[in-house]
Amino acid sequence: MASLTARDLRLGYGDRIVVDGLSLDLGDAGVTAIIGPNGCGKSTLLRALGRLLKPHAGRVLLDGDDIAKVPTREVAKRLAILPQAPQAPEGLTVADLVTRGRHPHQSWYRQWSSSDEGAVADALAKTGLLELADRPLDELSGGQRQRAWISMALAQDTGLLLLDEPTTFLDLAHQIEVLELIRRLHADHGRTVVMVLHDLNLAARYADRLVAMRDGRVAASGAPAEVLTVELLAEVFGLDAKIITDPVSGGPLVVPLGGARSATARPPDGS
Amino acid sequence: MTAVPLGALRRHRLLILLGLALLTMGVTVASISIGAMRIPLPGVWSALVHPTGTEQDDVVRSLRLPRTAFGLLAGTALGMAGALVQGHTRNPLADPGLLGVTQGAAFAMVLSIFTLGVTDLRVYIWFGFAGALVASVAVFTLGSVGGGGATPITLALAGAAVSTLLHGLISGLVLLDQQALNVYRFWQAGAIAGRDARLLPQVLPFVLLGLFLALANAPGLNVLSLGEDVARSLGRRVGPTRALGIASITLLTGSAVAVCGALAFVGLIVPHVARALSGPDHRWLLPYSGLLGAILLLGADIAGRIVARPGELEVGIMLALIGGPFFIALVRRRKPVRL
Amino acid sequence: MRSPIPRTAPAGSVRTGGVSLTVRVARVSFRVRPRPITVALAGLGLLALLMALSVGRGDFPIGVGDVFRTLLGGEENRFVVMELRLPRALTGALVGAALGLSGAIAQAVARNPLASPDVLGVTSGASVAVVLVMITGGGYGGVSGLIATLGVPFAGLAGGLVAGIGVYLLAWRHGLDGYRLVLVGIGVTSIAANVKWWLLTIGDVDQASRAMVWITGSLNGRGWEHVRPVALALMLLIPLTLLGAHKLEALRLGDDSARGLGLRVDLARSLLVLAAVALAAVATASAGPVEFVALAAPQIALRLCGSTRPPLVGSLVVGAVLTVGADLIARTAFGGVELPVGVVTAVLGAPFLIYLLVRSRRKAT
Repeated sequence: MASLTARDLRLGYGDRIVVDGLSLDLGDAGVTAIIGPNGCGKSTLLRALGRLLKPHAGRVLLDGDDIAKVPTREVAKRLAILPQAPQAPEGLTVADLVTRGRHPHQSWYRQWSSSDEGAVADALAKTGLLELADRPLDELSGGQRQRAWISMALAQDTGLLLLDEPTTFLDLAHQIEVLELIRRLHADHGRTVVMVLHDLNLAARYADRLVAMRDGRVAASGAPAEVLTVELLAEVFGLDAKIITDPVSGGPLVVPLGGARSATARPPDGS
Repeated sequence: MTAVPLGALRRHRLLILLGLALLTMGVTVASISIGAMRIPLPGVWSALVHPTGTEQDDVVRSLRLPRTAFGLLAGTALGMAGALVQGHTRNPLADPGLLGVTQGAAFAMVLSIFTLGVTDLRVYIWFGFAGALVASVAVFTLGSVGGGGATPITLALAGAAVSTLLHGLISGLVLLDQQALNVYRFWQAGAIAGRDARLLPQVLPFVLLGLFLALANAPGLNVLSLGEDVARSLGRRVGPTRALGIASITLLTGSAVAVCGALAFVGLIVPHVARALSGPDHRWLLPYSGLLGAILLLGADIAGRIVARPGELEVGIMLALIGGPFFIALVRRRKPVRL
Repeated sequence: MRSPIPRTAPAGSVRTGGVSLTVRVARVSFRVRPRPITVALAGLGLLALLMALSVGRGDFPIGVGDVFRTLLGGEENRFVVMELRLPRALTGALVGAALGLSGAIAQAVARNPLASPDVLGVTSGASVAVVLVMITGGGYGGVSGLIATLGVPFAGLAGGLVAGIGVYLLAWRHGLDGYRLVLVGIGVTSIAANVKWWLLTIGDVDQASRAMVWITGSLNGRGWEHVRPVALALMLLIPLTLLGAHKLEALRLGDDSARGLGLRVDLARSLLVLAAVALAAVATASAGPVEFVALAAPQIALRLCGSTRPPLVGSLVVGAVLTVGADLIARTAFGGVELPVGVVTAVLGAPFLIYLLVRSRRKAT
């Protein structure tokens, strides 16, 4: 199983440092959800883990190798990262999009092998998009479109999957649909998934492990029941809440108590 | 069961490709046959295969054949370069000259005439070619400075700025030198007739290299069109992919405009038509654009020989009169396809 | 992305332009920001100085002080100043002002920093008409020399208006979309450019050379007969445009928001586009398509004023300064050789655009 480790990361854009001195071990964790208030550096961390952002200092280790030293195509065979709200050119069909996920496995003399064909079909089947394969992406609903992008990342056929807010813009039913899919990817296919998620209760239900971030640091990490405590919610989110037991899953369920007392504790804006 | 949609789509695209190839062959034959002297197909065949030195054979071999070859070459090169430049800049208004290539070629030619008094076409096209290279490297560098690499927006702006600067300098030079103006105005109008056939083998290697690089760039451009983040996550290095595309655009456009003049209009409209046939997959879009470019350029050239018989109208004006209204109608009819 | 056209937010667009003063007199109220006013006033001062310098330079040099004295009624050098040189400087200032204003409108309507009256088809349409008159007027019977001379400005005006209005009409389809306007404009411009170059190849090289001067944009030999029409047109058009300025402001927010603010979007946009076409056509008819002023002036003014949008008055003043300054260089920098002003505006303006590009990249990273 793939392992991903961050060592003393310092991340930022230009002179603005967003994350400093962060270390994290994501090996063998099943499904991990990174949670935290807006602007705490969640997406920045995910981009660095997926080598889309070069760290100012520190290293990301993929199966023990420094990710910056591994050829990017090699990384792409082991790790797939899906950015937030990606855009496709007009008229692109679902099949075309998913096919492009095979890019790291192709070369100029080997454009379309039977393993490509198999991986694409498999990725479409897993996301339930076989019927929609030749429909243009712009004609699909938000949930279907999100599934198509996940399907592209699946076709990449990697052990590790990094997803940045895979449920943005989706209604609750579609959020559940996408998260169930992610759950199955781990349970049935042994993929390791790291995702940034906004909804605490969904994160608690679908992740094996939560990483709570605040101001570019890891405030807590561990099983949902360990992380989601009244004290942590107050510290990280400035949120007054009660924790009860989720009647469906038996895990923790966050019930906010009439608003945030966040005027003093609100983290700096921007992400 | 899953192979069905993919396979059917591919067959459909292959059929279109085949159709375009046949059409290209059709206009090629027509271009050799039609003109002030109409030569029937058997005559074309005998002139090509076993010439006997008749006037008809002479017309075919020394006039029509080079002209047709230049049309095929320039049309294919500009069509493909147009598809590449629109893909890389994600801008439907981009033409192959956007990255400074056309004005760079023109400036170097005009300068060589002005300062060195070069008069031989076969000499100053090399200046043009070199100018195209220098201008495009300058645009790529300017578009990449300040960190973050070349993005569609900075490339387009840098291209526009460099082109404007060169155009201003050209205007100054040709006003000082009538000899230079005389070459420049015919070059600007563009022509595939009356070119020296000896130029053909000289530019052919560059065009072939450009075509090869363009096709090699197609998979990279496909993933780049999903956004730079997605491209990188799929293991594609953005900088080299852009550099490869720009090298190809420069080779294709540089050779085409150096020999046949500023016919960049072909590269502006052809990719829009090709995209309607192929969808956004550059592995198909590029060959379609190349073939359509050749068809449009030769078609316009043939039309120019028919409308003004026994004289003829230059291909540049025919392109504008046929291609321009077609482009406007396309823009009006369809919801503009945003890249 | 909504518009695939390069749409750069101006560097530092977060600034709102600093302090503003509110002026209320009875029912009339204005909000006035000091910085654009300072820029406009400083620009006007610079313009006066450049015009005086321009009037002073020549085979018969006159000092700046003497120029002002003559203008204020002095009799010395009256003929040289008033009849020979002032009209040229005035034409330059008026043409530059019209182009600057027209460019500011075009960029605001298309929401694209590369838009200019060129994209609206005006300059290329004017060029085709003028080249046609020059090429056919010289040789192929029909048009005599005199008609050709009088006909050039008229042909420029007619060609520019026809092409500009043509682009506008062709782009209209259930309303006026800024994006389609630009696409259609590019199509029409390409046709016109090809026709222009083809026309240039059918005449002899002398005619082509004269036509080339015109299509580069020149202020050479402009007299009072050139000043009057353009001044008249501008006196009419500029106040009308400035009155519509607040509509432009609302349009910049996007169509839906503008409708939400109670604006009749298509009507407002149509009037603005037609005003831009008319301004550019008048300017082009009197001096030819002077390159780059319409594109660069709004972008310079926007940065000088520290605002987020091309300021109309600022663009107008900067356009005039740029044109008169470039003409001064074109006339005097190369000894005896007098270049058309359009060469200088392009050669001055392009490095400036490159500089802006590089600078905004530095800020972004």
